[in-house]
Amino acid sequence: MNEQDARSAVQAAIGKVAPDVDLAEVDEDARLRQDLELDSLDFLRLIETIDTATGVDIPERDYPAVATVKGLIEYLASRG
Amino acid sequence: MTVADVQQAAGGRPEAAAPAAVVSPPPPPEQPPPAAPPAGKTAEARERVASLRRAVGALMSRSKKTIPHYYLSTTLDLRAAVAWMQSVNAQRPVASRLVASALLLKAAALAARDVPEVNGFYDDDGGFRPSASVHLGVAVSLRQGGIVAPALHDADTLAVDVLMEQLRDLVSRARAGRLQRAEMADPTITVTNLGDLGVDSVFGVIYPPQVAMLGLGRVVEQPWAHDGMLGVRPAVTATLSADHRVSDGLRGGRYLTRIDELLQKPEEL
Repeated sequence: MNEQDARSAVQAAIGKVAPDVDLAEVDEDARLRQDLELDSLDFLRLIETIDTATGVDIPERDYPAVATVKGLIEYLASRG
Repeated sequence: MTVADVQQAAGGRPEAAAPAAVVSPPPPPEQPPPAAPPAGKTAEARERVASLRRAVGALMSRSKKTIPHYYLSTTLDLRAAVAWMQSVNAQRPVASRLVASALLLKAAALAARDVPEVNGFYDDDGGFRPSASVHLGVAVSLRQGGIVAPALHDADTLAVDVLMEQLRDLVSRARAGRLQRAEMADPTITVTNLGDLGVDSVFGVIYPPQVAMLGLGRVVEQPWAHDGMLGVRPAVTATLSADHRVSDGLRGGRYLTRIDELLQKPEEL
């Protein structure tokens, strides 16, 4: 997956889990928990949504690497 | 008391949550609106928020005036629980993975069965009525603002996987405004899990006519001294707000330590 596809997948998933978030306003350095206010169940749903859409299953041990929007995009771009 | 708790308590239908209704017999938790309306959208929405705020002020004032709260705090050692959860999750597709909250809620429900003084209702006429069932109220924050606290019914009897499924379902329906009335009725003890959004600890105000509220902070790695050695363990601060008419620090403390004991054998939860 190239970075643009990864970015689209991440934005679509965030839009689904947190529809109130204005994607145009989201800084890619934003932290999913603290800045986008996703709780642990939201986060799980985000990972699940991305898995369904892209086939990339992010294991729990890699959660620290995907704690930010940018981290998530880079992770997908390197694996997908 | 947190804003979330206020909003949860304010979640009733405006007419049912009017101050006049609040001062007489304790109402059961009422069906909330799908979400608190964003303030400032319309005059009607602003008035609704203000009206809810007044009702909640009355309810929480009554709680603080009539319930002699006492507060306890302890640190739960989550090394065993988190290690077990990670090993389980490593074998699972994301859709069936667990979160730490599911283990904490199950332990909280089991411990409530073991310490009945925190689980039930108090009224001035009949005194304390312990509940044979544990209906665990779970505070769910709504992204648009506000909170509801629907019950996981008979949470002490649910296998962790089932509790996790029901928790996901409950939270998702709460956020979509699709809770059933029965789910809003009669939690026997409530848990507020603000730690999931970053605070270290939370001391709740008891939601009358319940007699206790458990507060869970953020799961953090912290230095942990054990047998003369210093290590790092995941841990969480658990607090209990409880009603002195029904229990005292000894029993309340037992409730918190029982949760900790249960979490040391996560495979048996």
